Parts: sequence; structure tokens; C-alpha cells
Amino acid sequence: MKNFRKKQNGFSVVEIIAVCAVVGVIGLFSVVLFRHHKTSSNAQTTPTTAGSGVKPESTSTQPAQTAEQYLVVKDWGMQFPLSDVIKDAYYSSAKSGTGDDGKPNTIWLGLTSLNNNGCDVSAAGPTSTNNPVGSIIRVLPSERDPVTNKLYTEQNPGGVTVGKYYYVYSPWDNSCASKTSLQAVNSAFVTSVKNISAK
Amino acid sequence: MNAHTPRTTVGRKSILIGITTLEMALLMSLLHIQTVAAGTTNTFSDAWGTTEVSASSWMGGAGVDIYSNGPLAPDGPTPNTDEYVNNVNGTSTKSGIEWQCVELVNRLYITNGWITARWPGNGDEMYGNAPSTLTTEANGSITYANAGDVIGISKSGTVGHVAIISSVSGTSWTIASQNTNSVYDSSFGVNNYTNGTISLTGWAGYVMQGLVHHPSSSSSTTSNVPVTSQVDSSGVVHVITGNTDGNVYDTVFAGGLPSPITSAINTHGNLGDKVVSISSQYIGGVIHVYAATKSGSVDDIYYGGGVTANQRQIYSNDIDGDRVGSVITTGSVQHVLTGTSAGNLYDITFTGTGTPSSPWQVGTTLGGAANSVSAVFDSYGVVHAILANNAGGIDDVYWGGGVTLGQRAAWNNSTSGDTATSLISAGNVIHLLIGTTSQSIVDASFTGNTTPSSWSVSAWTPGTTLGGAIDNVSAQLDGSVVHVYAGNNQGASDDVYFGSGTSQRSVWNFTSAVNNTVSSQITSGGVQHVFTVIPQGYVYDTTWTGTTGSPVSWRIR
Repeated sequence: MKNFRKKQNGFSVVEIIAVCAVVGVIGLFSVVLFRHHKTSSNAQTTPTTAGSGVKPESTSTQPAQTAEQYLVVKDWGMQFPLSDVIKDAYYSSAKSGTGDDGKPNTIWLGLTSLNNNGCDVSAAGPTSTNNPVGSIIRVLPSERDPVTNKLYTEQNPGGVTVGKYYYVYSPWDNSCASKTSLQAVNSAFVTSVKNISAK
Repeated sequence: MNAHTPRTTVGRKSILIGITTLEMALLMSLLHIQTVAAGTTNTFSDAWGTTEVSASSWMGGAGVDIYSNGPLAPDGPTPNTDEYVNNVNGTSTKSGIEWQCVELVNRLYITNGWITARWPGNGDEMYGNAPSTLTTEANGSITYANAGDVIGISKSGTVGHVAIISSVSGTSWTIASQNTNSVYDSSFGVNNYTNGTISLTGWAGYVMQGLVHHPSSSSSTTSNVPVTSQVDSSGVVHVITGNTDGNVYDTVFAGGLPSPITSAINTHGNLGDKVVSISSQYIGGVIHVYAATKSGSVDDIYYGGGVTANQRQIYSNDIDGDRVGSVITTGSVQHVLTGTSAGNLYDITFTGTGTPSSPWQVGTTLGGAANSVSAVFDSYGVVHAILANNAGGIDDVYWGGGVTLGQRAAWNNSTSGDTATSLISAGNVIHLLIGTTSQSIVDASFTGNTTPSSWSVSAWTPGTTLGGAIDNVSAQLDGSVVHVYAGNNQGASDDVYFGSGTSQRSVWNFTSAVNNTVSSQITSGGVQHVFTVIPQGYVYDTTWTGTTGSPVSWRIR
């Protein structure tokens, strides 16, 4: 006896899944394009200060709600966005080691609002009485920590590679502010550094 | 059976060949592993406890062994084990967990007598925990660095690191570490001493805290460690050094050739300031050490011979620049001669451990500030105190034996920086043996008697072009041969000898150390000992016999 399959109308499950996948990919692509366009637009319209080595960045007269602020790291020719939590951020490269190009491989980050709390690194970098809020490390992806011999990319995950360098935020143990506040600050810097870009 | 024999033999050969190949492969494999694993740039691949760098191969032989912390580095294996090391007083002191970075620093400092108790803390705490006897300079304010100084390094979220400067070349340093994959790192230096900031390549995320200087580490390129020596009636050799921290150490060994490391005895309490000049005598079974400090005081430190060890101040002018010499005259009277920065010379006398006399000014406004002082007591009962002044003159201050106190310029090259010692050879010939900044040794001599007008000085140059300005001289009379041992500012010690022909030769050289000081003795069998002390405080004994014996050097402290 033969089994006859009855001809059915409509789409099969496989076909529906395929269509959804295509629509999803197109949608995702659109979102990425849109975000990229938005970021580029902000970068072009938001004034940033080229400044000196230690330079809190400002957005000039642009209202914060309409334009992103950036901290420009002149030593590297890079910038990263500043959210409200870290809008008074500045950096110092004093006492930093240097990378393969002779430029600082570490910048020490501070917030002017915390300078009076033992976290003023604006003048001389870290000292016995002043700690940074955190630091951004810039290394070659193949570079290893001289003490642990581990790759920085493995030892300090969560960074981003832009061009030939790996950038990552590293929080610093300090008592500049409450633990909760510092967590928020560190979280903001982590997010910011992931969006570091060429200036 | 016979038909099978050849096949069996062939088969055995094949098996044998196969085993041999396998063995060879295993052997090569092992050799390969050893070649790859060993070495100062790959310490984490070596077995825990492997000696990566031997003590004698760094710090001019004054280092300590550097070990691998093994594949489990940087934490190392558990449970942890502590290392102990004997300090200079023979006490066993914990140097820390084997083989952490802080353990290396502790072991080096305890072994060299720079600390006597454990220096506590993690790598990033050592700088802040530096013992009060050590000097610290924060990064940004660094003015000098020497091999043996410690660099403190911090990194948030870690225990940091601590390393030792193993060599300095201008403003570039090499550091040595334990518990890093590479022992040596040459990326360190100071951008310049005006800014005083440590600059380095690499070390992303790390903060250089600053330097901790060891006790003999000095900012001055002219700094040296004063040294004197004695041989007691038992044949025990005493090499006595004055440290920058105000301590005086006696390194002893019982004649013959010393073992590479001998014990050093802190002869007394601290003198309160850097020792700038030192002299000694062995009289009545007692060693007397006369030490001048930067603060302008002179102390008599005595020990041995059944007396209770003691120290006492015998002179003070509260002015830096004193230089001391000494001589014993009839009746076992000790004369401590102090030349001052004002160019005056004072004589303090005492017998045994008796009360010192008041200072007697025997030399007045000599040719310049005293660079060195020595003295001889001739067979006519005349004391000649020889002062090298900073105007290039060698002054002879004399008295005794019926000779009225007097002073004269015995020799002069009008060039500052001369140093001199003195001795008497047969016929009461008094030799003023002068080391100059122009790399030469001058013998200015005269025949002593009680008629000063007959003391005509004759000078000649038995030693020339010794490779550097002469910082320090010592001399011995070996039979009829005068040996002058000269330490020059390029790290060499030369033996210039005359009396049976004239010649000169380098007997010791440590080019990475300059501004050395020398003292000398001749022990039983005519063995000459030249004790050379480099500014880091390490003492070397170079020995040989006669004028042709091959010199052998030992680090004795």
C-alpha cells in the first residue's frame, strides 16, 4: 500500500524561519548603519579640545543633552566619549611607561570633582598621596605584563583594539568616593573606552 | 639452526638500531627542553628553585642567587616556604617566601649587612616600608642611583613589584628581579636628574614609586668608603671600613687566603654620621680605629686584647672635611693626627685606653684643606706627619727627637686632588708616596735625621699613566722593595714597585666601580694583600707574593 501525501497550501516552517532570518539580518544591518551614522554625526558636530597633556574635555557651549562630550588624548590622537557620570574627566601621562612608538602606554584618569579627595593626578600623575581614579592602558595585542608574563589582552579583558593597539580601562583602588559612586564611575569609563576612536 | 642464525643476528641489529634511535630521540628531546627552558628570559619555564643567576655574576660579585619561582609563578607553589639567611652578625633572619620578588631584596640586603631585620611588605609596600637606615627618593625627585638600590613598583589590584638596580650607566639602568619571567630588564632609566623621573619602556599600567638607596649608595661621584687594616699577633687580618651610615665594620679572616665571604663585625654603635676618613693601630693586643665623620668629630674605637670594646670622641670641630692619620711613638703613645678643611693639623695623644690629650695644633694654615694624612716615626725619634692638601702640595709637619716643631712644603704640583701615604725604608729614608690626578705615582723622599735643613727632598715618578686619576694610595715595604698600591678612578688598583728594579702592573680591576679605596698588609710568607673597597661597600682582597706572583682576588665582604 502506498502512502499518498495530501498537497497542502501556505508556507512551510522552514520557509517561515528563512524569511524571518533574512528580515532579522536586514534589520540588524540597518540598526548598525543608523548607529554608525549617529556617532559620526556627533563626532563631527561636537567640539573637542585638543588641549595639552592634562586636559579636562568640555563640549564648549553645546548642551549636554544634544551632544556627546569627549576626552581627547592628545598623546595618542584618540578620543573617547564622556557620559554624565564622568563628564569632568581629565588625564595625565606623567610617570607613564612608553610603548613601541615612544608614546605613553598608560594615562591616569581623574575627575576634577574628586581632586580634593586624594585623587588629584593632574599635576604629577600618581603620587604617594594621590591615586588616579583609573587608567587606560594602550598596548600591542602581543604585549605581556612584565610581572605576570600574561598577555594584557587576557589579563585585562574587555578592551577594544583600534588600529594596532589594544585599549582597556583599569580601575584603581582608591577612596576618592563611596564604593557605589566609584563603581558607577568605573562602569562609565569601561563603556567609554570601548568607544574610543581616532580623533 | 645455523641457517637461522644470520637472520636472528640481523634482527637483533635492527632492534638495537631501533632502540638507539629512540634513545637518541629522547635524549635530544630532553636536551631540547633544557635548552629552551633554561635562561634568564624564560624563568617561568624552569623548575621552581632553579638558580637563574648566581651570586657572583652580578653586582660585581656581591649579589645573591636569583631563583626561578617556577611554572606556577607569580604565586608559586603552595604551601609557601620561608627562606632564612645569616646576617652580618651571624643571626638567622627570615628573608621571605621563596622565591618572591621581595625575598630577593631582603636576602641581598641582609647578606650585605644593609639591614639586620626583615624588610616587610608586598612589592608595592616595600618603598613605603623602607627601614629608617635607608634613604628613599620619590619618583619625580630622584637625584642619583647606584647598583643595589631598590625600585618600588605598584599597580592597582596587584601586590606590585620590587626590583634591584643591577647596573647603572649614566642615566640608564638595568634592573634584576626575582619572580618575573625575565630576570633582567634594561628599559629603566631616568629622563634626567633635573626632572628626576623614572622613565621606562613597557610596564603599562604600572607606577614607579621611587628608589630606596642602600647604605653605601651615594650621590657624590667622589664618595668612597674609607678603609684601613691591621694584622694582629695571631695572624688574624682585620679589614676595617667606615660606612656612610656611620657604622664601622671589621671584616676578619685568619691569615692565609680568605674564604670568599667572611664575617664582618660592627665594631661599635653608630657614629651618627657618614665616616669620611679612617686610620688604625694595633698596640698592646688592642685594635684602635680612629674614625672621622662628616659632622667634624673623630672617635677612637677600640676592641680586642681583653679590653672592653668602647668608643669615645677624642676630637671635634663640628666641620666637615677632617682627615685622620696615626702613628705610634716611643712608650706606645698613640698619636691621632687630624687635618682639617682649614688646612690645620692637630695631634691628640694617649696611651692604651687612657685619657686623650687635648688637641695640640702642630700644623697651621698649611697649603690647603686636608685631602689625606699619614705619619711616620723615624729612628731619630722624629715624627713626620704628612698632609696632602687640596692645592697640590704635600706638607711635612715634624717634631720630636729634639727637633723643634716645624712645617714645610715638601713637594708640590699645584694640582688639587693629590693623596699621599708614607713609609720608612732602610737608612732612615722617608718616602712620601703621592698619587696624582694625572695618573702618576710620585716618590718624594729624603733621609731623616735631627737636622731639618738637611732634609732635601728628591722626587721621581716610578708610576705613570695608571689608567685614571689616583683616588687613594697605600704602601708596604717588602724587604728592600717599596710597593705602592694605587686605586684609580677607573676602577683599577695598580701595584707600582721599586727598590729592586722599577715596574708597575694592574693587580685588580673592576671597571664598573670607580672611586675605590685601598689599604694593604703583608702577612706570613710575604703574601701581599691589597684591600680594595668599592663605593657600594664591597671589600676585595687581592693577594700575591713578590713582584711577579699572579694576583688573585676575593670578595671578602
